[in-house]
Amino acid sequence: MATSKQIKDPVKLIPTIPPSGEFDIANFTFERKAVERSILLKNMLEDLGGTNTEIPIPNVKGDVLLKVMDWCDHHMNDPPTTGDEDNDSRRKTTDIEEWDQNFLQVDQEMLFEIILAANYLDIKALLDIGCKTVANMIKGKSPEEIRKTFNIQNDFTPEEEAQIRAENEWAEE
Amino acid sequence: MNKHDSALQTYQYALRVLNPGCTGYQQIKELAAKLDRRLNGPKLTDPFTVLPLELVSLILEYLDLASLLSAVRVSKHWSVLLNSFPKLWSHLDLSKARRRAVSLKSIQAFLRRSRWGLTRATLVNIRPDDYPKLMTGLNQIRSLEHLELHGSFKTGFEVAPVYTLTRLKTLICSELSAMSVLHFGRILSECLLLERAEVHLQSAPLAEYQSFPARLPHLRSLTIVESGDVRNRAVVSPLSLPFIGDATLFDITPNLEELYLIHKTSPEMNGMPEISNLPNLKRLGLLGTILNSFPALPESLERLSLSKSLHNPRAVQPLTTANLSDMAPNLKTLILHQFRASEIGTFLITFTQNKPSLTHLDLEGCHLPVEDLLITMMHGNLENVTSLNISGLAEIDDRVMANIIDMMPNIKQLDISRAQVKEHSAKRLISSDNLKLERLVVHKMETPFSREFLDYAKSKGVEIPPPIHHNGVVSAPSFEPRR
Repeated sequence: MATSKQIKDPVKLIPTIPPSGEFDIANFTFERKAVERSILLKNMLEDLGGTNTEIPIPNVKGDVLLKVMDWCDHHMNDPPTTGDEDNDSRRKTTDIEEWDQNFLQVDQEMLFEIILAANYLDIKALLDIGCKTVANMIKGKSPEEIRKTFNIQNDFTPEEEAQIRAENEWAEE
Repeated sequence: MNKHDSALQTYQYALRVLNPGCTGYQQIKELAAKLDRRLNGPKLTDPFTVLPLELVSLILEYLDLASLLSAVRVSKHWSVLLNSFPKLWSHLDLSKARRRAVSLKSIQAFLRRSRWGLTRATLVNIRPDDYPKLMTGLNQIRSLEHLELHGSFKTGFEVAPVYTLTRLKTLICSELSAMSVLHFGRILSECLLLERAEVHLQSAPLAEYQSFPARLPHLRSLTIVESGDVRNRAVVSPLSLPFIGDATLFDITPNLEELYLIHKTSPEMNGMPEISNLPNLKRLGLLGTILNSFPALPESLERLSLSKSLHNPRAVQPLTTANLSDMAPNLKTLILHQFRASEIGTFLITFTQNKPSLTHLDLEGCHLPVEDLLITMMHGNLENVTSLNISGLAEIDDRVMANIIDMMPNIKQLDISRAQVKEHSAKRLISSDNLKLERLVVHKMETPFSREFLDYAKSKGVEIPPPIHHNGVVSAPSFEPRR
């Protein structure tokens, strides 16, 4: 956790939706470099100038913010992504490095919240692995297995189901 | 009802009636969530109901075709959602089919989803009778850039012309879809954006070799495989067509990087294109072909393949040292398959002396006397070779192994399949301090290598590929190997 370490250049993030249970605002002080993994916050810090190091964070629940900052802390020294990797090669790989895989071993609600937060805070690498994780939960599964994974009701009538099956089962294992 | 369930119900009731702002509300909410999780396991949520469309689209882009087709069948909501991203459906890839005949109905459903905005189509696994119908439909799709035909066109291309697809960049036609010279000529004249064409062409009467393009400035890769009937004397191989035979290719295809001309039946080739002034030509393959005169090679050439046709092993390519040794000073890869001793021995010795740039040498199936190979190794300049294939050569024995250790210090990949090499000398190769071998292919050895040897190789970090099994399952059709 961020608090256990000596923080050289602290930035305080104040979640407007506090985490559940008791929480210590001191836990929300992070290394500037980690905070700057978020392009949104990086730009805000730049705009605010050097002195102000306290940023209110709306839209992200406190416990999700802590989790996201855990990731930023671990990846604080990663080389910045160039952003032009999105070339023509469709069907991208869904490989995820081991630390990130373990990091995203959370329940679905938290996973989706992390994805939303990464999108809002503009943390591209985290958004990517979040989306890959969801894609991997769908990949290679039958429709029924997908329904089970996300607790989705099959709302096709038997006739509709027969038709959509006939049209789309040609590539199935 | 047990007491846990009734507690949960009480919480939920409280949450319904209490004002969310009042004291204790938050606490009740947490307790309810905690208990709910305990009783019902982690909450499962449909991601596509909580995430905005832009993120849904990001997730879907990671799915392969089979998973997309599975996802469409999950629920009405998912079906609508997936149908609203036509980009996901821009590659109709029937090579992914698990059954032999994909119905036109399925393909229509796919095309509807793509909003008829397909950019790539790989056609295989459909009934021959359906081809014309499908092609008639595809001809309306002007966004198509990549077309692969691997199926049988019983009725021919006349009912299903390809040349109307003027935005095509890639065209691949395998043997079952061999097209006529006339049709191909028309494609080259109309599809001026073509970057890559790999086609099987039927032999045809000479009169048909007429219309040819003025200029194909984008064409980078051209492969023509003659798939004709050699017994029919009235026809001429498509490789004799004027475009190839007489023209200066530079005028038509100034940016060509790769040219493969492959004969399956007729070995004679009348004339050879002028290629020496193609500034970007890197890969040249003349397979199963007899040339009256060998063409001058450009300086840019890196890969040269002069293998014989597997279909017509009698075809003999005259290799003379005089015309090849001084050409292509930057050649990295030389592939000479199935040559006879009289054709290759002296050539190889002289040639390798002049080519320090060589990194890949592939002599599979050549009848090369082992003495010639040893001389090549000793006097040739093979210091930079990293990959050597001498599978199927006669008399490859322990002496050859010893020479490899001494003369080819950079070797990383070695194929000695079907050789008489004994385990102990292969072991010496692997354990030699001079070499850093990464991969050793030993299929069908005269004395098969033992389990113990394989384990030893593994412990030394050398990969030994397992034997190839042909179990008859063809998922994607492979093109004529053009090594």
